Amino acid sequence: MLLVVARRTLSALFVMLFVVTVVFVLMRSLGDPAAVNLGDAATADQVAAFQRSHGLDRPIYVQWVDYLAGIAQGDWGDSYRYDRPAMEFVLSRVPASLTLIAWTMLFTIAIGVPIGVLAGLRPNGPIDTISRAVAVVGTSAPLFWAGILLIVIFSVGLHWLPAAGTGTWRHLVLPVAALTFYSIPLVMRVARASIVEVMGQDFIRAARAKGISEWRLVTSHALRNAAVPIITLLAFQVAHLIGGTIIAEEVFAQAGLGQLAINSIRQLDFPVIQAFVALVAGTIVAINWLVDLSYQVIDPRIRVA
Amino acid sequence: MISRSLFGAGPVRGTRSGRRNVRRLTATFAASTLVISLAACGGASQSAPAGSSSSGHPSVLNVGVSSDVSTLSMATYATGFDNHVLTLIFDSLIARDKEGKLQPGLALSWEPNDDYTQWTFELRPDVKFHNGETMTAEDVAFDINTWKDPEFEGGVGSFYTEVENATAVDDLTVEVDLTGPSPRFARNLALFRSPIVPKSVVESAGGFDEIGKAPETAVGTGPFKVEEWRTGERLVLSAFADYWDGKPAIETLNLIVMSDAATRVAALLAGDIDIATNFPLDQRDELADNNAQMLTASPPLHVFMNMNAANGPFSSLELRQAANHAIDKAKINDELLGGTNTIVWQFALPVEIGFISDLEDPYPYDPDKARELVAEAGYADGVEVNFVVNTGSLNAREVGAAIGEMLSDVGITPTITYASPDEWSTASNEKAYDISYTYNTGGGNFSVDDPMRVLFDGERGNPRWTGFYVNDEVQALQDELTQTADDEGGIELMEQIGQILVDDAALVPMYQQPELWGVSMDLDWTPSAVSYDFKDAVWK
Repeated sequence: MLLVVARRTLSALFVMLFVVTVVFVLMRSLGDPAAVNLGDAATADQVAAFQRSHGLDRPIYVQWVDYLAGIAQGDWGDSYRYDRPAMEFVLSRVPASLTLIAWTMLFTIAIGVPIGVLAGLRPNGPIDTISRAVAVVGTSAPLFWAGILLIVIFSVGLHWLPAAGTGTWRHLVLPVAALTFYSIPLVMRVARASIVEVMGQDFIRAARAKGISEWRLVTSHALRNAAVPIITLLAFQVAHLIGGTIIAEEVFAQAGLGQLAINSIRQLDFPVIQAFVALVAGTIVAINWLVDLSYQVIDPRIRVA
Repeated sequence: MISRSLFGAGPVRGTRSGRRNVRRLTATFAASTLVISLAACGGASQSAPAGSSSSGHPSVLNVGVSSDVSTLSMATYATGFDNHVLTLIFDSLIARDKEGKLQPGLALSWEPNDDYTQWTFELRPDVKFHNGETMTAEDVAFDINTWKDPEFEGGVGSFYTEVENATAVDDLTVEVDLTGPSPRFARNLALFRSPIVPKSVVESAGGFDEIGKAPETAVGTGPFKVEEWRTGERLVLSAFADYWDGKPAIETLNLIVMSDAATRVAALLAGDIDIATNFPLDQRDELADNNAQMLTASPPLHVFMNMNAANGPFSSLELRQAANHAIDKAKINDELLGGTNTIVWQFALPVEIGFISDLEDPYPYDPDKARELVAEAGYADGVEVNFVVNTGSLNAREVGAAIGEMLSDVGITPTITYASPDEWSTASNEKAYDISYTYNTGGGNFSVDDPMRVLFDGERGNPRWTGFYVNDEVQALQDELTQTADDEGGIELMEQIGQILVDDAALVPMYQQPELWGVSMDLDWTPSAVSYDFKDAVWK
């Protein structure tokens, strides 16, 4: 068991090293941060001073070794733009993004699962037809388009909600609605498919034959068995939503991780982009590491020698 | 219809559904487009006007800005954008009015000695810092001596390299000794380059490098003081009651970060913000129906084409002249730039010192003449060139495509590459093009000598421009210019250089490009060409 833990940990660290290195090299092929940060009126001396003070005048492998040595000591470098620790800066944006993701997940589950289940119980019924139509639009409409659509209707047209920005719960309504619209179709469809599949199985027919009420049949037999794929999917949806927030935060001007990532790429702020990618990749690697190890504990058949 | 133009912004992702679903989707899409268009129209006519301050409080001003400031200190690593914002918080020794003319700032006067090796600044009396202290000559001398220190890595340092020492002669007089004559020294310190901070704050913060990282260290003498800075989200400023030029009418100024242009437009139309910076030109028609208008300001923003005169086809003078004759600047301005740009045929702009006001257009639009010159240059069968379009200026993609057509028309066939400003920088560093459509922000000094030194001074200027056009005569004049005051022949020297650049067709000058602002009709305010200046904004 200890050997397995050690092996998994080692491979997780290797994945992280790979990700950090790839981002490090890719960033440096994007362009010259001095040019972006200093503007087009900068003199040769100013450009040189910028590169010297950020170590960009050294060969890339020297920069890379230096960067890894820094990470080992918990130093992810300083933002070129803000001149303060990059990782601290990235972490300060986590709460805003988590708020968006949490509310979106809540609505996705609270709306998507019941509708999917109802649709699955009456395939081709009215709820099914409507929900499938909504799902098609939701999957097809790009998130930024849906976001602007919501702004045009509810802010510019009706003046009900603020178009963008942060501050009150009203500022969260449109971004959460757009993200929910973006994440709900898949959940609805998987819930529907699981229910359809479960309802066709023998144990349901047997339960029906016993004369059990339809309500109890659904709640205590069908739902429990349909839950596994739905829950698996919800876990994936969180990763999917991290991507979604990048767009939603830009459209709705929310100061979260996604907006930071976009602006840092525009500014070629290498340390911040690297810290952002490392944080996201690290979170996903850590979840996988935990899942891998939990299999060992939960299901002995998966134990690897 | 705002909806139509906003929808045009991007592709609709494909669907895996069958043909029937696609048809259903198309119908839904069309229907929703219609609904939204109606909603937008209806909203515009019946809803509250966009201009009434979103907070309902007449002394609050909400401004949607395209970017966040990176620091609250102008002296350290401020970008051009930061400087524009931070002039709200910090005053300089010398100010500029909204057209860029020099004005007394924290200094009432500035005088050189006979050989320009010493400058004396007489300070404005009774100027308060945001922390309540009164500004003295000691604060100013302390700041200048910090900035001139070679160890000081901040952005303003480069303007003080020639300073020997600054001394407080009395409470309101500062003498600055220079290592050599510098006739432009004082002028170069205007606006962004001498943001005075109290000595006590620098010392308690632990040095100039710490100034501006936290709001409490951002202590200046400007019309607004910092209340709160939430990075990436907003900067909240409040009117400074003891401002030397009178307290601003706006009590609270919120600079709200909205990096997406469509978001800024929507927020302005919805009344969430009262002013939108970098307003997209193609949305201009939406404003009238929503109680807002588009205003322009004219900073020294040069838009032009530069050519690789050192290598390749454009080393031929005739071909450079042909490129000048080939471009119909008036047509591009009318059809692609909404008529907002000012056409120029010299490098200097009308707003700059060094502009030759009586110069006739030496290269009017004349495609026949251009074709002749292409043939004279030895390319009777046409020539293929590598053309890079820097997409950072207004509608640059469309303009670049139009230029491409016009060049092809006279026998100069371009292979067009569209590059973001940083990609363009890289291409420039590598000399990876023959000709490019690009821009320069002119350094904020409203004098053509700064951008000329960056663009046309070989390796001494800027690595990105090195080698595109170098001329010994121009370089000699540049040397002379640094030693000559504006009023003692400096302006003539700038005009001389400008004339050589025209005669030698060193570039294709095109436009002085304005900044565009979306502004609520209820606000009485004129945008400034030099900075984000809201101190005289008043609600009607």
